[in-house]
Amino acid sequence: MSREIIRVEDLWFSYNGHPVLREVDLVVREKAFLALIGPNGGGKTTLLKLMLGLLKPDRGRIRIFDAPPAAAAHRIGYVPQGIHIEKGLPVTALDVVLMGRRMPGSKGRGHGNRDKIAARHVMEQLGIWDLRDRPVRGLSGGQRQRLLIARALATEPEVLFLDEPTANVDAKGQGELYDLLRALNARMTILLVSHDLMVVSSHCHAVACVNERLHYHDEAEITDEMMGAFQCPVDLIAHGHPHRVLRSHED
Amino acid sequence: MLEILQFDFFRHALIVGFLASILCGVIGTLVVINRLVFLSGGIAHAAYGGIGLSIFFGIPFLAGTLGFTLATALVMAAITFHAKHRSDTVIGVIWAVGMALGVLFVDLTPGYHVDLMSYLFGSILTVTRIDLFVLTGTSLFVILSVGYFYHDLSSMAFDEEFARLRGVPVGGLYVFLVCMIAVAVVLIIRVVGLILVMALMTIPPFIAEGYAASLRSMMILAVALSALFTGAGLFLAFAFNLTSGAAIILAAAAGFFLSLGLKRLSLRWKKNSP
Repeated sequence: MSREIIRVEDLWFSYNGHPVLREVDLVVREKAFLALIGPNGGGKTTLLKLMLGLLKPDRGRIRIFDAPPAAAAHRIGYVPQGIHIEKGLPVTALDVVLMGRRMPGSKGRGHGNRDKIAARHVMEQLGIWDLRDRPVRGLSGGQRQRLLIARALATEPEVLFLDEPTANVDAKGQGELYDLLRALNARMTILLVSHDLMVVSSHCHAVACVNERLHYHDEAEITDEMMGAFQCPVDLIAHGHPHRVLRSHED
Repeated sequence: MLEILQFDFFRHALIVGFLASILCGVIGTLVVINRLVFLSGGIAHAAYGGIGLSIFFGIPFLAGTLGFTLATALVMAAITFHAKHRSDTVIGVIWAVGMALGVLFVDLTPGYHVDLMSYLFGSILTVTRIDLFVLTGTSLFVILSVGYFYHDLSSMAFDEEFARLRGVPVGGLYVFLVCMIAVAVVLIIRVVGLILVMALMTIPPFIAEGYAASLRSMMILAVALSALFTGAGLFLAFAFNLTSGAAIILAAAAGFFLSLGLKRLSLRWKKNSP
């Protein structure tokens, strides 16, 4: 069995008195490709942020590489939802990727040649090297999404967290993105928050349904019939209209 | 027109205006991109409490005001850090309390009637040599420290959570930034007044944001614009015998509307020639 990368035990979190997550247990092993699905407000993004140490749990324990999140989160490449990014800021695409080259504890305030080579490498990988001198505010939603992925990859992560990476991307872009993620999965663990059932069924090894509680379904359960067999209370948005895909958990 | 450059007071005013422009351009850029305009306004108004305090207790203006304003700014930083986008009420309260305290302290000081106008619009033409030294030192400190933390500051402004994951000391930098705003505000109120601080901290960075490709060029452009407005305002003030602070603000406002108009024109031009 491969190495344990993430362990979450009896995690509880509330926001302004409203429970967001309760009794969450989760183990993620090396090279896993796990999708977090669930309704909006179900706690998917919150769970990512707890594992990154950006939020503090009310109760429970989180270990990343057998260390507290604050000590290990820099080994995670984080691709946030693009909507929170400060779009007015005058920075070029290359500037943004270089932001990922800052290593914790490094006193180096500038960017050396090594950083620029690394930034170029990931930007070429994502097909955005041509955009390097373009201001971020002029980029399309899909380009901005790739840029955030490039910034995360520039950190040379061992784990990749992606929050709704396909929200602003067209069908062709989505296909390319998933091919890339599959290739990256050969060398890193991936956690993906997604509404997109296609990716869940065809790419992921495991699915966790997050709606206050977390229900884990491993590879053996992901079959063609999983849509019916799964029992997660989620409304999934597919092709522009919502439809209920999975039946309720019995708890 | 140029013969007024022979006057010491005018040359001093120009130098002070330029130094204030450095402070306003650099810090103002950080204020604008971090959406801290309202917080800066709060600090600037609350500073009046420090002025009243200094008068009442008879302590030197700079020490009293700086101490009070820094303390207020730290309180604001502590309250707003975890809810930056939802802290306007708290800022509004501190804003009002600071001013009210200032007015009361002045009331309680026997036989003293402070000129509120000089606080609002300053008196750039009566600047002393010491003001010049303090301003020069502060400007140098601001340039050096912002230069040192440049990458961290821009990473933080772009995406604070990601910056924190990369080990950027986000909390420390935020407090540092708020303190710098407080220091700049106090120094500039002394020479050009509260209204001008806010105008110079927001208008030049706002114009510069539209043309700059990086934070660095935004700062440099903002400093240049700010110096241009200050210089133009001073000449106008002298030529037509106007209040200098108000003349500078009008020069900046003219620049502001000019840049809005230019932006509109260039958009239309782009649309018509695809």
